[in-house]
Amino acid sequence: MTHTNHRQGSRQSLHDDYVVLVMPAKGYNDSPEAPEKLKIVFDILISFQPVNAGGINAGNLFLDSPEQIRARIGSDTPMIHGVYTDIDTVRQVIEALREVDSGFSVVVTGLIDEIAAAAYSAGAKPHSIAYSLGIKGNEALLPPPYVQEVTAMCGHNLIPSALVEDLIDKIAQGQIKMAGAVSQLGEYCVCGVFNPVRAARLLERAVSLKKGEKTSEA
Amino acid sequence: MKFESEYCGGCGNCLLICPVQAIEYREERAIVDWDKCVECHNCVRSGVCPTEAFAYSSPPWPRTLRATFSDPFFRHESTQHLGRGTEEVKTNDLTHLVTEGNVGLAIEAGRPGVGAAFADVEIITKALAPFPVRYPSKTPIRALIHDEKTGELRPEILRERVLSVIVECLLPATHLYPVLNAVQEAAAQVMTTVYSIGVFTLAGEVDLIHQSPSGYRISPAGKNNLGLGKSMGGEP
Repeated sequence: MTHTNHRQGSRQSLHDDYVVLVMPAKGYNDSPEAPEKLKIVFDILISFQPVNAGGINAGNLFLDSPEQIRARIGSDTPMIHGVYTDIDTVRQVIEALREVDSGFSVVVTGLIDEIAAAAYSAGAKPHSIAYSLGIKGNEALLPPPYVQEVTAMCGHNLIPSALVEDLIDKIAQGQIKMAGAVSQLGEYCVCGVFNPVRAARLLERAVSLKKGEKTSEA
Repeated sequence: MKFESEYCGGCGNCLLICPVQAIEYREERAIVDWDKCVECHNCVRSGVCPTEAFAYSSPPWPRTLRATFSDPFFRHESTQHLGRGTEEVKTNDLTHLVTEGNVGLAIEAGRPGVGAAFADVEIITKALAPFPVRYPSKTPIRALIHDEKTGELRPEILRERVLSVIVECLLPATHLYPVLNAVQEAAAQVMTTVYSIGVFTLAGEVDLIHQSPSGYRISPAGKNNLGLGKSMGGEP
């Protein structure tokens, strides 16, 4: 129940971070035709110009073109994703997914109240909601919050915190450009749910913090 | 994963890409701490090693668990799912795992980015044992529980480390916070890692979650199943 459920940050920080996930359910609609239908769904996700997209065994937009990802969607692709930065686009995506009526489950991660409003506006009705209730245990082991906010955008924990710290230093020292840093991080998120636009904003803020500059919330 | 140290050129590229810092640098060579390594294969997939010293391997049981829980490309034998969990809220519009008055609970040991031993996971399953929780049949953790009455896991796996494990179960909503408090109390004594808490309900039952006692901060962001799923003939 996790995957995209524990993206960290305040409401303000999460305002441009929405992940649309489409998934066949085992035993209900994962028919032999499912991969072909999933490709049609993927075309819809791509048509709304996501900042990232993909799925396990299909790829992501940092490593592959949309055509390559589409070609790899098969019976071993459990779900596909598209990442968007504004709720109005999400509303349009929901409308389009309703129209194509694939029968697959559609899940949107992001600000819960914004998504509910967009869903109703698009003619859908939220069925169930997963909430994140935070982190407990030996919290002394965690990296700083500005690192966690970036790494948490890969639900499989594959973005290493040491790499984020290193890239923050390199950006601060002018050794790498923001686009290059974000692209490196995006490669590790194999499902394609990493949001590069939000990541760039978070990294910029982290660089300012490192330099001792005053910052507003990213 | 296997590391052929004789090929290591000492560039140090790999040090930054291990999510659990299992690779160290000593005497101009990379050294892998095999106890810490969770077999996520970031080092192999990333291609950062110019001499290709990292490669996939086929370790014996129970080390095989490391990759099945840490590398999303590995499939669980018990569930035939990729990754650490099940379809949970993602397909709840069809599976109806969570029904009125109940919640789905997902306690993910090791997340975010710390990693966990199954001994840590057992702290959670033991704390859950006295409560009326039910492990859905397709959850990977269920196959590893030796005794549901006590919450004990299979003893041979306790030392194995993974990037994270989702302890996923269903329970009456009235038990949610007592369960979470019991886990927190147990974890405070001995746990060597962190855990992330996820809870899911029917969309109309948000009040079940929002009766949150202090100490549990509910994120404004979550996963919303939009109810668009349709069965293509019969339930399994």
